[in-house]
Amino acid sequence: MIALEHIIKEYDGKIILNDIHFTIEQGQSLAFTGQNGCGKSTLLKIIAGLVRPTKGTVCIEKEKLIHYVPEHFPKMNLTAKRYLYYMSRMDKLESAALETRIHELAEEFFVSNMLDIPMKYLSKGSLQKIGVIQALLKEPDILLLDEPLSGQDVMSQQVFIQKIQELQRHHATILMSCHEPYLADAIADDVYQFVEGKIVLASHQSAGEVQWYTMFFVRTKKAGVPEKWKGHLQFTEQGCILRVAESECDRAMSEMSGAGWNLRGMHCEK
Amino acid sequence: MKVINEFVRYQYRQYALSAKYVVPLIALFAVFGIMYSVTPIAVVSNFAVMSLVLFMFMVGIGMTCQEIEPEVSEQIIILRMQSARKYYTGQVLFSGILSVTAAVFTLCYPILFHYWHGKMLFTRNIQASDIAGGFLLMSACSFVGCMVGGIFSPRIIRERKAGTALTIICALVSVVKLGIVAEFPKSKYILWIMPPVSDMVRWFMKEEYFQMGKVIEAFFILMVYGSALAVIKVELSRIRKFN
Repeated sequence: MIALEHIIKEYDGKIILNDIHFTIEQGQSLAFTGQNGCGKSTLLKIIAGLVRPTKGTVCIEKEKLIHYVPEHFPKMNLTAKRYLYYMSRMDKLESAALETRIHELAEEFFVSNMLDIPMKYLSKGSLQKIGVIQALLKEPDILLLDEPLSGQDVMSQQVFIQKIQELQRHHATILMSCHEPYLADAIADDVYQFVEGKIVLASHQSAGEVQWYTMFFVRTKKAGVPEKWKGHLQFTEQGCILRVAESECDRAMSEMSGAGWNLRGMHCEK
Repeated sequence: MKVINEFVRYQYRQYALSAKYVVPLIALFAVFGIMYSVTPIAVVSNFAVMSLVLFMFMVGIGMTCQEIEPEVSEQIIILRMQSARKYYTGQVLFSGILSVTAAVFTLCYPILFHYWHGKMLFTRNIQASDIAGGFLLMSACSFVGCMVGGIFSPRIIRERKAGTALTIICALVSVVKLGIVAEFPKSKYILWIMPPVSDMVRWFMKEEYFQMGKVIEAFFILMVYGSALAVIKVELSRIRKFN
């Protein structure tokens, strides 16, 4: 459990966070939204213990592994592979497992062919993916996401959501600052909005709603488009994305597969 | 310890690729060229002077070491290591390794030069005590230099220019403080706080052979000073956080 007790943060006499007081349970997922500079990132860093609040305290049950995906992952001279190698060594992953883990994640985020390139030559989106991969090498107890999707392509965004949902199933606590409503909907139990230094509960997931799934297909050479799904498909460079209700999932999978599409992944939108 | 070990390896790789050491290294080679162009020279006094040179060189290296890690990456690693103290201790260990490497290099260069040029560089043959004494004195001065270079890092003093200016002033005053004290005796009440490199090196300037008792005492004093700087750096960096 994380307890934030009357957190106040001032910068140059200006109050950014004003008496933030709430608790976060293990396994809970929260999203923070609000204008740029409203204090979302600062709150995440205060929770992580990287920034000291002007007043108030943060209590975290001891020995929690926190991983952090920054908004802008920095350019470095190291290759992505070498960087991820060192990060997994610091995560105490075994040598045999870490190579496999790095390649698996790189494959899933479509950066396999960029692993041997120095990170200073990678694009913003690719760098951001490396930033996400480093946080997923080992399952953390708490994952801090600071606008994690900035610059990422649609397919990688979906893989990202899928991965975070996997972590949620393993009871990781997810705290995220973001601007994208669909990301907050897909991941967060509760969405908080920053209003003049305070946080206000903006939305809460409720039961009984229709479950929607997003599927990702990769095209084979002879892929066609099934009649039923024409107009529903969103084509991308590598394949297409299909959003369907839970009741239609089996049919969609079977018909798309019959038409020459390979299912690459799917995730449930809460 | 394993995590710190991995972090030190990571730092080494980052630093090697950064090429930030190139300018200080060129300066060191230039000093080598000047120092060893006139022969023969006395062994002990040369090693003592080279300890001072190495101190200045390592101040530069210590400063560049603070610039290799982007702030965001630093935050990611601190969380991963689950301890800011471990992170900054790893930085100090890395500085220690660099210091010993630089001392070995600075010591080996004139010795190899001496034997390569038919034993013409020094006034007498090199003895085991010269190698041991030179190594201890150079390693300790090198370590203090690296710590001085890192003490005013951007993590501790936010204003980068002010940090750089303070480091340079501190390094220069350390080297010339005996002269300042001779000119203004009362300044010794302030300058005692400066790194004791010139005080230690002075002990050996007129010696023909290293006296191991003196060497060990100098080594001990310098290492205590360097370690105190290391503890201050670790604790200040940890306490200040990323505010």
